[in-house]
Formats: sequence, structure tokens, C-alpha cells
Amino acid sequence: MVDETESRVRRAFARVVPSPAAGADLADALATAERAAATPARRSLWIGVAAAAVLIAAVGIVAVRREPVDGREAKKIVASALDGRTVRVRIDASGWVELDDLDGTPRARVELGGTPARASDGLDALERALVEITARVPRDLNGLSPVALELVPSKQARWRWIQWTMQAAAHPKVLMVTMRFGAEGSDETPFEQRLPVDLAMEPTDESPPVGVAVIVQVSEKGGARIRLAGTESPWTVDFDSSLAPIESRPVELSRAMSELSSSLRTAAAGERNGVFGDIEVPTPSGDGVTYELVHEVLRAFREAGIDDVRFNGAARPKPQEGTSSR
Amino acid sequence: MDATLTLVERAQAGDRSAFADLHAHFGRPLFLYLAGLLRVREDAEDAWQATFLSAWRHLGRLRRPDRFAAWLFHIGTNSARDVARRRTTFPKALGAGDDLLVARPDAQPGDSDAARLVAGLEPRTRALVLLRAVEGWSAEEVGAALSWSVATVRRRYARALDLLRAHVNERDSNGR
Repeated sequence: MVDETESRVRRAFARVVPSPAAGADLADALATAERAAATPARRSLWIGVAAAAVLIAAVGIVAVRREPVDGREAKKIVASALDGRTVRVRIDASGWVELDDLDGTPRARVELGGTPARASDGLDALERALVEITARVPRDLNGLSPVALELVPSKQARWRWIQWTMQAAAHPKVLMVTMRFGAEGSDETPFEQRLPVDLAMEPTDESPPVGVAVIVQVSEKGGARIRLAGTESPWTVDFDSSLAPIESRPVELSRAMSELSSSLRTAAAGERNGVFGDIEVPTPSGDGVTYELVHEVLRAFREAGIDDVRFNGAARPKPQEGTSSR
Repeated sequence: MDATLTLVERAQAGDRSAFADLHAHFGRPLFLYLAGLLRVREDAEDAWQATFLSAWRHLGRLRRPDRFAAWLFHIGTNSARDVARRRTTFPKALGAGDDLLVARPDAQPGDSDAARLVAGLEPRTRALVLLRAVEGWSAEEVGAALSWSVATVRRRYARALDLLRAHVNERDSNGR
């Protein structure tokens, strides 16, 4: 039974449909894609034209009075609508990783959260998929892949799994360096970071930037501890109650992250040659650290004006003897 | 056999008219979903076009034709993320004509209130409400498209409706 509230919503949005122009552009873009696909296979031209006619007729449901759109416009739509430069990875709370291809379609599903042997196999499969995907996109002049890795993990995913995923992206045959850190269920714009790359360094008289490290670990009581290292007045906060989702303790975390951001800003203030951030999650105390904590620390760095943030590595899971392809 | 599954299998076998039928069936629901995520007409239309283009190009790669809706909406979610990342206009700065989540000008005051309240929901919940209330999809259909369990769809929709009802009732009583 439909109630009054539902009826109001239905009436309010009854006309939310794609515009006729959008339908017409889609029809042209589909026709363009169809022709492009048909050409290499040397299919007869009439097949493409007939297919386009069918698609245009179908899209005509929303494009009753379509104006002619030229081919260049359709190509522009194809190019602009599909950026083709992002690979998206979701990681759930139990360590299953889903990898999407450049076009947004699902590509692979691997497990990083199981036994070390299974995690090792999963990581191998992830690397193979990334090698295949990045091979399809021309590399930059320096050999790096222009494809970005967008991470969309569950907040409860272990940071270790994200580190392994980044290791797969840094594989010599992959060389993806642009990472975007999003979060499942969030519409916040992901934080973008570039992984450090060992390229030829040019000599310079300037001193290198100074690193400011934040250490995230699991405390002795089983909670989380976040610590700013290497300063005269160390800043530390413990979440000793539990590693419960942040939503259950928003005030505490919000206050702590605000303090951390302020401390980071102070630490960076006197450095003339610039500062980079470093997030360390040491083993074994960091094995239980969740993605949401690291994501919050990353946010604190950015709020402090430190955009260059680096991450320490994590030991690769050990393969089962005699089964690894590596 | 499920009608959608038949269409997907025919489309995978090269039947273009079957893909056209799939577009006709899923075009509006997908657009409502994207409108819920992105709000802005131009953005939602870009993502909508990109989704069908991608689906058209890669239908052969779909291994589970019985999960076409989930696959299509999955591509839609990714397209929405791509569009959201590159956009420069924040929805709050939009004119009324660009914002899909504003009631049409001739709407009743109660309907406009409902539209404002829906716009204030979290994006995925907005999308859920639009699919259920506007498109009239069942909990099973929404669950299949969004890869949620039917129980999750029902629970989230009931919670969203309770929230909307509470606000509407409060406004109605204040208006008297």
C-alpha cells in the first residue's frame, strides 16, 4: 500500500528523466561505438548502420524529438564520459578484494584476508590483473602508468590489505603511482597521493624536505594508538576502549584528529625546505589497524597543509611452499 | 525463464534489438539511481550515457547474465564516481533548473517539502528512495540492482520513510 509520503515523493520527482538531448547523444555515441567495433572486423557497413538505427529507435523512447548531433560530438561524449584511466578496487571487511577494469566493469575477485598462502595467491592474481590492464594504456615518457588506482575499502578493512594492494600497483610491470583513497559508502572526493618513485635525481643545492611521521598501531589493551613521532613534545592518543567503528565515538575521534592536525601544522611550521608526511603502521602491532584510522590520519595531514604523504611498506604474505608462481 | 535474462542472452549473442529493450527497461531506473547519487542533471546524464556505452561494449564479458542489473548498476556507480571526481560545481551552488532533486515548479507545497527532505538524505539512501517510491521497483528488484539483501532494502527504505514522515508531520502540524 502506498502511503501519503511515498505519493508526495513520487509526484515531486515524476519528471526526473534523461533529457531528449541526452538520449540523442547516447544514441549517436552508441552508433559511433558500434561502427568503431565493426571496422576492424571488416563487417559490412550496413550492419553497423542497421544496429545504429535500432539503438537510435530504442533511445527514441526518451528522445522523441532529437536534433541531429554530428559524429564529433558523439566521439567527445564517449571520450569524456569514460575517462579510461582509473582502476577501482573495493576491499570488504573480511579481506575480499574486487577489482574493476578501466571501463568500470568487474574484472577480478581475490582474497587477501585469509591465510598467508591464500593472501599470497590473491596478491599474485591481483598483480596479474593489473599487469594486463595497465598494458592496454600507453605509458608516460618516464615509463610510469598513467592509470590511477582508486581504493574504495570498507572502513573496517585492515590497512595491511590496502598496503598489499598498493604493492601490487607498484609492481615493476605495473608501475601505477597515482593512488586515490576513498571510502565505501562515502561521497567525499577521494584523497589523491602519488607513490614515491625512484627516478634519476638531479643534483640540487637545496636540502630535502623533512619527514613528519605518524605511527598508527594497536595498543597493548587491544585498542588503537596514534602517535606523532620525532617531535620535542610527542603527541599521542589512545582509543583503548575498542576498535569499534568510528561512528560510535565520533566526538572523541574528531577531537583527537583536530589535535593531531594542529600538532602536524606546528611541526611543519619551522621547516623551510618543505615537509612530507609519513604514515607508519609497524608490524606486528599494526596488523589489526583498520583503514578508517589511517584514512583519518591522512585527512589530518591534508588539513595541516601537508599534501605529500608516504606510507611504509608491509611484508608480503608468504606463499605456500611450491605453489607460488613467483 | 526470466524475461530480462532472455534479453541479456540474446544481446550477448549479438541481437541489438535485445540490448535496445534492456535500455528501455533499465534506462529510467538507472537514471533515477544516478540522480540520487549525483543530483546534477548534466552529471547524471553523463554517467548514464557512460554506463550504457560501457555495458554495450563489454556485454560479452558479463559472466552471470542472471545478474545483469547488478552489473549495470555497478558500472553506473563507477561512472558516477568518475563524474563526481571531475566536476567543479558543488550541488549547493546549483540553480534550481540544474538540480534534479528539486520539485518541479508547479508542485504542491507538500510535494516540495518531500523533495527537499529526500535531497537531504545520504546519496545511496536517496537513490533507494527514488527507485522504490518513484520508479515503483520492488525490494527484490532494488536488492538485485544494488547487490543488497532484500531485508537490507526493506530496512533502509522503512527507516528513510519514517524519517521523511516525521519531518512531514512536524511541518504539517507547525503549518496549522
